[in-house]
Amino acid sequence: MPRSAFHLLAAASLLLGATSRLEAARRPRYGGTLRVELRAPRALEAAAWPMAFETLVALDESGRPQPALAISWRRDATGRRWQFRLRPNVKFHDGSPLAAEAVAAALGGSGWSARIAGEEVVIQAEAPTSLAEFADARRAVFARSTDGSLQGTGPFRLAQWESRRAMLAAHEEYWAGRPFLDAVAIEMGRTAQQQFLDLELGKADLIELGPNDVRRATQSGARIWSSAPVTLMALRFERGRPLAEDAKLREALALSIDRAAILNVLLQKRGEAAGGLLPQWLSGYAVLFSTARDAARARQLVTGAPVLSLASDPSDALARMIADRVAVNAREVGIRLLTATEAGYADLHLVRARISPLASEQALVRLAASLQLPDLLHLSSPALESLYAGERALLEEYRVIPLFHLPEIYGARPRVKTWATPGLLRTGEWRLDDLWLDSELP
Amino acid sequence: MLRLILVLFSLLAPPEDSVLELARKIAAALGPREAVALTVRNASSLAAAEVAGVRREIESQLRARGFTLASDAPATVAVTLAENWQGGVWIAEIRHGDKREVVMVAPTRPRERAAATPMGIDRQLILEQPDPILDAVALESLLVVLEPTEVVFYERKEARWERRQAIALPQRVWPRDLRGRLAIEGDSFEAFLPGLACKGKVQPEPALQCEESDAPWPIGAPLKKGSNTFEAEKLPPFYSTARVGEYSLAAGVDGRTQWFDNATAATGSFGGWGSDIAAVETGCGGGRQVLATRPSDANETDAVQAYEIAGRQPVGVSPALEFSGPVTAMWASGPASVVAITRDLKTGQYAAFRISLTCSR
Repeated sequence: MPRSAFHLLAAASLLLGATSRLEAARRPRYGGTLRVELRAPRALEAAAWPMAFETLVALDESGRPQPALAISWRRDATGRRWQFRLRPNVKFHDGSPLAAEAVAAALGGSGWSARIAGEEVVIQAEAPTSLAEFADARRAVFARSTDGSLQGTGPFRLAQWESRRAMLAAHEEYWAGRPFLDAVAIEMGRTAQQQFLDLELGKADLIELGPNDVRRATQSGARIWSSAPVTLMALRFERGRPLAEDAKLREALALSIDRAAILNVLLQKRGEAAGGLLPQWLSGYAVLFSTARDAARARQLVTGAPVLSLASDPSDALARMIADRVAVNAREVGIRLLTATEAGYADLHLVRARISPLASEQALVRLAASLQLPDLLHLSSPALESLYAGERALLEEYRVIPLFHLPEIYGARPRVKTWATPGLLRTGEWRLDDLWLDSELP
Repeated sequence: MLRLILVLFSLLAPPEDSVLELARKIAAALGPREAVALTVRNASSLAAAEVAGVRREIESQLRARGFTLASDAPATVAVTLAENWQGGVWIAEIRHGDKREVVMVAPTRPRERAAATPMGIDRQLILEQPDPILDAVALESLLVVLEPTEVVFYERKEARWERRQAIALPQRVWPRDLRGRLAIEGDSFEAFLPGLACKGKVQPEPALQCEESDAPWPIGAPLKKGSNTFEAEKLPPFYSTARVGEYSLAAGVDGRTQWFDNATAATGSFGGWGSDIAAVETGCGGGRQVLATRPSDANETDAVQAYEIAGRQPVGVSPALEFSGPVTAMWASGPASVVAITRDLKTGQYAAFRISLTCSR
């Protein structure tokens, strides 16, 4: 096409610019700042960290490790020694090249020793290690620059970091291509009402939603992003409290809870009733754990008129509502459950535990640790039967009563578009580097 | 037709090894030659026909091991066909009195089936592979494929392409939505990437030499370095262009397609197209048509449809040719055909198609 023709087109576009309606294009546009608002309890660090700091491998949507900072690897027969070949032409945010020395320095410690062998990094682990463990965000690669700041290799660099807000800027030399967005601005501690208002006024592009906010967000024109259920909501008994040590009482409480009703009403069917610790999408065998209520059996187990105190996070409105509903269920079988926010004096706690997007056995070990359950070192094999037996053993004393597996849910303005990967992975992790912002309709 | 049915049947058939393994584990948990009551529940994405196939196979395997199947038998085997994010999880709960045992197997997921192909506008598969394809040019006995890291040369051996040689491209940090274009003339070819131009030979031995360059691509404008848009003087960035008679069209970054008339400078724009357009000369109808993708997100299926311009508006002149994923590139490949690259949303495979229009619709 001759240049002169483009001159004509240029003039035309100036004429049309003021009046044309803008419509979605398939190919993405570069530029713009994505404004994200979050409420507690998700930590800002957890949200922003993986975008700035990368691991040797990354898990795909099916949980399979894929090359990230490493492009190939091999292991010895014991699974303790791993050798990784690093991706060439990777740069830290300050422009310095990723060197094997930096990787070895970042990954050594916590049961691993790291050294360089030729062009490869060799990791020697104290225990057999699966490849998926190299995708753990806690094993991210970083370096300290001369001013002491942390430098990562991820698609965004931390441009501003305060207690309740962060600004991430595009890493211009990112090995997988510069992100489409210029920046991501994240603000924490915003109430649901504030977030909705900002979304409707165009001051926020992406807000965090509770299960019962979805309808309103949809009515506001937002697109709903939802992960697989990645958070376990459970009751955890406090060890050492006299009533919490009554095994029959714990079992009675577990059998009293009408999860189906809570799921339908309070959670608007967003999530799954949980009988086990791991969700079905991760383990595949969660269907074996019963979630049914058995009030008759629960009444048989209760002796006297026990009174238990249940604590929940005062800033977590959904948790408070569920705690109240659990108390109603408990009362129906003869257990008086006093809901409170003073965690120090509670017999049991309503807790949320984030499930690590790792292989099932590692996810279970992490989850058990976060719920103060015994460790699972007796898990001799990652075979499904062994994993199921281990999970069953963890739950048989009813020290923890799983209630629900909940997804991460977000509302996005229509101008937020995705390219090759969605903005929210099934595992609940953000992938904001593949988002782009379309023009607003006038 | 018989062949199609056989293909479908093979796709529906359960992974036999997994059934054998599950039956073996169930048999090990049962007493010798017991009567058992078998139930099979589907908690997965398997279709009813697949579940029935699994059930038949388990029954057959248990009978072959000497077990009798009876609905009132004291020993029960409850099979649940479930799945996790990595594939299937088939569970059998074996109960005999107070004894309960759980066994599991993890079958591999059957390959996803491709979407059906509507007719009316023709496509011909050139190549399918897991690695991204930027452009592909098929000659009589030679196929040249431009990938993000190399140019690959294939030779036709009987009815299929056989990889002959690959020449690496200089390593670069490419834009995320990487675009590339091939142009072949005689034994020479050119490859265009953002900020890079390569020249090479396809015969007798493939060769390639690249240099930093902001030279115009075959559409007549250079691609903006580090971006996915073409730029021309005094013109807003655009994704693709097509020339139809006296009109030229440009797919703009605002999602609208702008057109202009060289003679009168009368201009306008319309919506409804995606960002990849290309013109073809068929001699049918108005003589020249524009093939355009559909506007939507990149994680949706796509389609290519032919249009003519009438009254300064596009008029569809062919049915939409549906693909099982987004069209990631579409370039004119000859006067009457284009090459479209697609990414299958289910399998992740990239495919290069030659799309052509026929007059006999």
